[in-house]
Amino acid sequence: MVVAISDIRVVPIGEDLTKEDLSLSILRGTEKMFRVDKPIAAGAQFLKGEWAVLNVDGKAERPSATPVGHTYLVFCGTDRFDSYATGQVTLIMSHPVVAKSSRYDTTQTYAVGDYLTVNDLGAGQAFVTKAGPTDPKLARVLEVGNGYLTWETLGGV
Amino acid sequence: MYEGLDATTFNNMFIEQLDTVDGIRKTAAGGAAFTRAKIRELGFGRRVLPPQSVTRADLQRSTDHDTLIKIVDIEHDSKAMAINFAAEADERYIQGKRAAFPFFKIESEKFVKSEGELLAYDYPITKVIEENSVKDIQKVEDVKFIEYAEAAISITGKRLVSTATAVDRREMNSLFKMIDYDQLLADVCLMNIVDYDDYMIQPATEIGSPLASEITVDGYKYQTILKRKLVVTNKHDILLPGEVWAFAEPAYLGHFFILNDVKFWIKKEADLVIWKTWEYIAEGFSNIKSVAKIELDVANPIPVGGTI
Repeated sequence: MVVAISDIRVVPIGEDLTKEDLSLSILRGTEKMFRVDKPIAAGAQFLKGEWAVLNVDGKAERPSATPVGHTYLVFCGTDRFDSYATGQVTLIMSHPVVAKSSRYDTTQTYAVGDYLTVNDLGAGQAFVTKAGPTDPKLARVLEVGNGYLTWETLGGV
Repeated sequence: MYEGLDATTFNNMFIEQLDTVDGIRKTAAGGAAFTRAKIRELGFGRRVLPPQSVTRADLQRSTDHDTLIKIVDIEHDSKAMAINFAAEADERYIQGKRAAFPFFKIESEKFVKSEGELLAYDYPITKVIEENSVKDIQKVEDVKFIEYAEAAISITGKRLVSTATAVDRREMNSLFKMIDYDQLLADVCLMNIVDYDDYMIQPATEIGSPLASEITVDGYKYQTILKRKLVVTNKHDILLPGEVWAFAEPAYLGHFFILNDVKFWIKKEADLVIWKTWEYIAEGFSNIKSVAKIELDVANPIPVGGTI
């Protein structure tokens, strides 16, 4: 569990801090969306903009290779002090929300209107990727940006 | 305080003062005042990034060890958009970024001298303190300053390798543009004195006859070049000839914190006089886009047989 100050933000600074953080921006729906804390399954860690699956105990765990509908966007990751204190991760559990994120499967080619789903992309990634015909649809692409995708969340059905 | 005394008399009085507790306190205070003034004058890093004095109350601790940091906020981005009457703009859930400036100590060597040998010096003992303690401390400050500047440009790529053999207005223009393009403003130019020497031999066809004539007689006597403040150093072991730096003004650049100012300590043990100087500082660049460097293809400025 990482709760210390990020090393790259200690002098000498390892990143351009003036650069816009594209990991997750909610463009529409912030006021109305359900921001719900769920307990974290043993050993699971999440970053903002990743997605979490609720397991049989109702705890947040990382997605498996098979997409499921009960998969939710992580609003505040486990790299924060409050998450460490509560043992919970904050998820967005309502739709539609319009979000912009640099955290997506960059091996795919996207077009506006593509449906997105979430599964284990390997290398520990739990981002949106292009949905297959039978996969639960978790989001729909609204804009394909330079280094980011904008999508609206769907119900995962 | 010591004016009107010859060096030998002063040194003798200095040693006699150290024989009393009150004398030690007064002597240390005198040395401290002298030290602070000279460090501010000599460190080139301080001329680019003026030091800010902080106290323990301004700092944060680590839970893992007994050291201190100062956390500084980075201005977050914002924007506006043109929209129809019935629409509404995008939302932004603000999440700030911060940078931590870790404090570390810079300390002079612990100088030791017998009182008898001190009397053999023909210059005041405060000069010894200045020439040893102050020089060493300011040098480490500047070493770290350049080290952090190198770290910044290694990320941003604001390092221009030029085939020019001497600094001139074109090279400096290229240097400044690397910062200006990012909606910042290059404010300070830092160069080695060898490059400054080269700058002064530009022909009249390049810089105009009046200025060339003036430089030929008096040298370049202005504090700015192309409207940017000029800082020149002779520390070629820190700032190599041919390496010219540009920095934005401090508000857009970073911070240089000093905790409780410079400390000076002195004591006399039997016939030995012992003293040292130290400070706790944190310095660095939280806006790494505000740093740029140009590397010129300069000739070796050292006469035959020497090396840079």
